[in-house]
Amino acid sequence: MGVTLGVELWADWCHSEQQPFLWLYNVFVIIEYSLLCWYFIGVTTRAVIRRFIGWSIPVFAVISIVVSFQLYNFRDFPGQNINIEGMLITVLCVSVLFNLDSRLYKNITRHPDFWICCGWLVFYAGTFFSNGLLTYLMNQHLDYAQKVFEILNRPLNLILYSCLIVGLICALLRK
Amino acid sequence: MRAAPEIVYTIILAAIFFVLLVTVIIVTVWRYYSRKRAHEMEVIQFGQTLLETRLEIQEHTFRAISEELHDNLGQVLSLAKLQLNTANINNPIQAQEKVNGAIDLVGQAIYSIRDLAKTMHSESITRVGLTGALETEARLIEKIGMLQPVFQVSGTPVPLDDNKTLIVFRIVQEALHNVVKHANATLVEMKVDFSKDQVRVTVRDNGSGFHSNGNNDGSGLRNMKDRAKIIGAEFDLQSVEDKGTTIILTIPSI
Repeated sequence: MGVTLGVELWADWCHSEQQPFLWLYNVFVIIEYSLLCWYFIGVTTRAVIRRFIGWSIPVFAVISIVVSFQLYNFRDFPGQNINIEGMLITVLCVSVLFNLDSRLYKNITRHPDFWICCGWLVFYAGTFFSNGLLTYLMNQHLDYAQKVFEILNRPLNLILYSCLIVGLICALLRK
Repeated sequence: MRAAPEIVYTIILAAIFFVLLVTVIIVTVWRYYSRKRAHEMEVIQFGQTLLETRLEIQEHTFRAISEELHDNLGQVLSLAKLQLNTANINNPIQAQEKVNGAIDLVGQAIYSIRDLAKTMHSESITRVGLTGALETEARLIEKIGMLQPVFQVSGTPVPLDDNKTLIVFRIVQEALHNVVKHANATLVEMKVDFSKDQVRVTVRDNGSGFHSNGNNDGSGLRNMKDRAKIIGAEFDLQSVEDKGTTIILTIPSI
């Protein structure tokens, strides 16, 4: 969350200074995926899944760099990179959810990983939908595209960060 | 106005994705609570096994104390009483000999009582640890005199969880009891190997052995296997007729 905030502030500053800032997101997507994988490795008990997550980091980094060079030249928003990241994170979240350690918490709603994974799943489910809709709206009604994207994206971010905060509170309560 | 195919596909895909999302969450909750129930059952079963183990160790201790009192202490003190009763105070030299003999016998009785106080019960087992408890058990077997025990420890001892220690000790005690009672052995080896993440306990005898196919095991053997399973240990039994039996218990120390 700290890295996200940092990147957003940096991008905002670049934007206000009229400097290119979209390259930041091309780099950030790799950092974000690596950090999430690091977290998932920590909460996964099965060695096979841990190995899979570990190997997925360099693979995703290479794919992401290639896509950024080929499609965006590090100048545009990395939509495809985020889609690939989303698919991988969705698979990892489902795997973590199906293997939640039931011995630690009496109630599933007290489990930090439950909230964190649900948050990411809802976020990426919404992102896939909004990306699909945006592609259509950009072709048909360019004026509405930005507005609809904002309408969809804001609650998704709110849900994601609310879930992350609830997960953090659950983890702190356990300590 | 007819909707463009792109928007229809997007909505259908989004609907499918959200249905999948809801399904994932429902399956997660269902799996979580079924695993929780299974874990709670395991905890109850573990508690029952632990209680049974404690009771069996207690029973074993009482039996050992009773046998010691009857076979050794009782005899020694009776003999001391006999010595004192037959001492003639009119013959000071003979009386002195008898009193000295009685003093020696009382000394032996005190030594036996001290030994008896060291008999293993559940608290002392957890206090002295697995190797200490098994060493005492080996000494007790040596005292019976029917077979020669050999006790070895290798690796750096890692303290096991108290409950695990009790259950492992009880499994080994049961194995030794079987050797003493049924194996007709002259030698029993007890080996404890400590490694980084596991403890391996081996009990090997040179007795008559038996044929085991796993289906017709006695209740003692079944109990040992069940207990090993409850603490997450691996139980391996190899027996060759006329060559002896080896039991290997591999316990994860983490």
